[in-house]
Amino acid sequence: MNPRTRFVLRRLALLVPSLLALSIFVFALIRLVPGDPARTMLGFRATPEAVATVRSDLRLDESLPAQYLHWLGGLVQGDLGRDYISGDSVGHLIGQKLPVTLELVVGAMALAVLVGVPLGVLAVSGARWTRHLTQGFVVAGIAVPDFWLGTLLVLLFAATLNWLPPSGWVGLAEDPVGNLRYIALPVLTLAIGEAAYILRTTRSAMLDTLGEPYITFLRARGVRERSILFRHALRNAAVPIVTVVGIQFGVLLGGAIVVETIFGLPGLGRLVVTAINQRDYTVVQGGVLVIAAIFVVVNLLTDLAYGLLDPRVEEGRTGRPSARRPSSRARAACACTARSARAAGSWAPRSCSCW
Amino acid sequence: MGAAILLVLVIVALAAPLLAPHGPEEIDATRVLAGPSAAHPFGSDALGRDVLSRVLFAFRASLGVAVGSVLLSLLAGVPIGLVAGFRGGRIDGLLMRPLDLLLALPALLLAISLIAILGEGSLVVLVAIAIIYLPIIARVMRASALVVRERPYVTASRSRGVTGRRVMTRHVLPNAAGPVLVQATVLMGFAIQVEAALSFLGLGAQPPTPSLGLMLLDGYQVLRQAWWVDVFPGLAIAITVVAFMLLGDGLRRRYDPAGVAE
Amino acid sequence: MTLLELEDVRVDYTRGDGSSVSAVAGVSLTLEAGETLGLVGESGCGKSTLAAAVMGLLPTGAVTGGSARFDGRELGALTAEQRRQLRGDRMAMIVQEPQSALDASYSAGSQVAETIRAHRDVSRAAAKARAIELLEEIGIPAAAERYGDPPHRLSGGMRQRAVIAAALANDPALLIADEPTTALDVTIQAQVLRLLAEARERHGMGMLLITHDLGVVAQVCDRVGVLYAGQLVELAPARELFAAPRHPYTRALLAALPGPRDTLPTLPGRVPDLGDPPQGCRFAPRCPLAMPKCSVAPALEGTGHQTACWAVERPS
Repeated sequence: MNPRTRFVLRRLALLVPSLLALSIFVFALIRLVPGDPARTMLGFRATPEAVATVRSDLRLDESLPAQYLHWLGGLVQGDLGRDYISGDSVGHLIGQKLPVTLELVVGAMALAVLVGVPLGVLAVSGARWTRHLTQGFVVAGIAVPDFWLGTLLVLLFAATLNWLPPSGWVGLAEDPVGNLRYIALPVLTLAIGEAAYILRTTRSAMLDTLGEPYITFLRARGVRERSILFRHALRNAAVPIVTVVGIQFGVLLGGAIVVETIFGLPGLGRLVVTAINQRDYTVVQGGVLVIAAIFVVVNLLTDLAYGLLDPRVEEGRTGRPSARRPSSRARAACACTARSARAAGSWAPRSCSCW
Repeated sequence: MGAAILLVLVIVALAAPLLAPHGPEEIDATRVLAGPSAAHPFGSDALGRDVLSRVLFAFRASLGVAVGSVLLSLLAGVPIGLVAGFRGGRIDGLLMRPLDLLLALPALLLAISLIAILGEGSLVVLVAIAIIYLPIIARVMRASALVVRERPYVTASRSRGVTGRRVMTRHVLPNAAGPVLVQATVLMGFAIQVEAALSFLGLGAQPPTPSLGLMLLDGYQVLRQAWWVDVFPGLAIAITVVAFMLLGDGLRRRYDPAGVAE
Repeated sequence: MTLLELEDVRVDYTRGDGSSVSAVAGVSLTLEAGETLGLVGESGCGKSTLAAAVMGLLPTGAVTGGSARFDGRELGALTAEQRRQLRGDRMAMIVQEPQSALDASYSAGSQVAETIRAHRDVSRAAAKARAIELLEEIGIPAAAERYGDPPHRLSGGMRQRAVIAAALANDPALLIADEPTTALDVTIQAQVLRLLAEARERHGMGMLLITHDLGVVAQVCDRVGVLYAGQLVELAPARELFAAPRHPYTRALLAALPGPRDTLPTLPGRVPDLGDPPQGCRFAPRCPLAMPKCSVAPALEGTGHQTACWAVERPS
């Protein structure tokens, strides 16, 4: 079995314990609620029969481990429980809302990368004024709260210019054009802030890479500058960029929660927030689990991409880069977690909630 | 430079009651949703309240939560990271693995999960943010401690028989604290954003407790008629984050040249 | 025609804070085809800067002066693109860390081909074929199979050879080797020097060998130039330099070579700060033969064996 396959399998194998740990965590979270969850969930609908039904459904009278196993068993079969307020199955609810959130988040990240990476390269290789411009953009993009940006965009495009709708939704399958109109502002809101991070990471990674000896040697051999920039520098800078993309996905998922609220998108984030307000715990549980699971999977994909991009990773042990360690600045692109975690060989997927 | 801005901001925050031309809850019924003017430099909101005053008080509250949460995080995170980094081995794994788990959840998601359990309110937000940032602080402290642990003066004092605890507190901690300080500064800026987001969602500060996030919520609702109710609080947040970033950059040059923090 | 002719070459850097550093101060030398000229000096004496200046690889913000003629063409008068065309084609350079000189993301063989395709309009297949030839020439066995190997899969020695092959892919007339042996074990050093000598024979190149290792110089170089603080203080055939050094700095340098002795002689003082260099001869502050005259920089004088020192007697 070639080392690359081994790497992939090893990484996939880590998926199971991660998800398991996640599920325990989410389960514990909800069970920590003071008071009787059944009664709290049902609220004014708490008739004795209803409470009894809920209690038996959730096995609330049994021991915690038993409850967990029961829940887990249901999970594995795809049953996330029941929403006691609407009567719907949690799985069904989530299934409806998930595509919306995915479209939003994936779209925002894609746009951010498409804008951020080229600008990052420009920031390194372009004229001085482009450097200042991108610097300013980075600071603004990071400092400005994305939901505030959302309101500003609504102010501009919806209220003033009336080009785009401020809220609402229609499915992609039903009406592609309409869908794009509704999702434009939300995606833009998230993408701008995200592009700033990606720009910064690209720039920093490129600067690091351009300082490496092989770049000098390439220049000494008369290879064209553009070729050096894209074939070599960017390729090597891709690793920290991809890492940050993975980490930032988590942030985007968080941002999506707020953006969905502003723009009235029927997404998973909004579902969870509403559920919290209504004390609808089974929905909260299912929603949080699904969102977190998405994040775990994204991290897995990032790790795999990392392995693909850097041919030396596969040579080492559990995801430990064997030869050259990323320079301190690239490490600092998210030194707080990703790199130090990888270097330490820890198994849990990473997020960098610094931002 | 950032320090200068920040200082101004902090003073403004502390002096809010003195600076504010009106009380934050004071209603001027004649001037509902009025634009910026001499009487109301930032305009007034839907209830006729002076936006400038409200921004000042909300800023004070939000800043308080942000700083408080990071301090709380430091209180817990620094010892954990220090011990983990210094001792290494099994203790390291024991301490850091649970924190890694916390990192598996997107930050905002974790925060709202905690709020789901503990209820809403500014205090809960403070604790929630502290918990979100705990793994980061611990990680940075640990990484920094790992580096300092190998320094000659540490080895020297250990070989002289100084107890581990003493070495940690007297030698490692002061020298390894730099990156953590930088990280904490940067996190304070972001903490304000998180607090605002949570309050915006109705999960944070509950009225009448002021919060910039709540103001943004109000502002959003009257967006078309009165843009100022939304713009100024947001601007306040943005400026504060920039100030913290600049401060962080400045501190980084001095205390964390190796870039252990981010 | 003289391959490389440097006349009063100067290089000044601007530092971050705006101050200027005089890295190279009026160096003049010539290099003929087929000749190996060694350039020695301590770290920071300007030898790498000089190499970068000749290659056109100085960082932005560096100011050059004087004249540098390669193959009769004035380098300073060329555009950036023209200089790029020279690099890797007519003049080549081997950088200081050959271990990391190749991009780890691509195979070693393809990087040799890359040099070819940067200057010749040939197909990918043709470049690959030529690259394999070059790799075999330089002593990598089974080059065709190893063409696709990434650098980290090659042994240290193989990597060296691949780097040299990549540098010399287009048969340059001038090779500048900047500290090619510094980062290497002694055993591999010998290998590399032999490789370079062979390559020089094969291609009839002129070579500028930059190093601080006098032992290497003695083995390989025809002539040697000694740099101190950006000034060329002595230039002579290698044998003569070692047998009868004239400049006080060269003599101190050679005297400081480890050998059977009781103590290692040292020079008082330190290398001057190039941000604020002394006027005239930069060695004067430490020189046992310093005179008031030394505040004016002496020119490199003599035939065959040149020295820049007022205190050295010149045959008139």
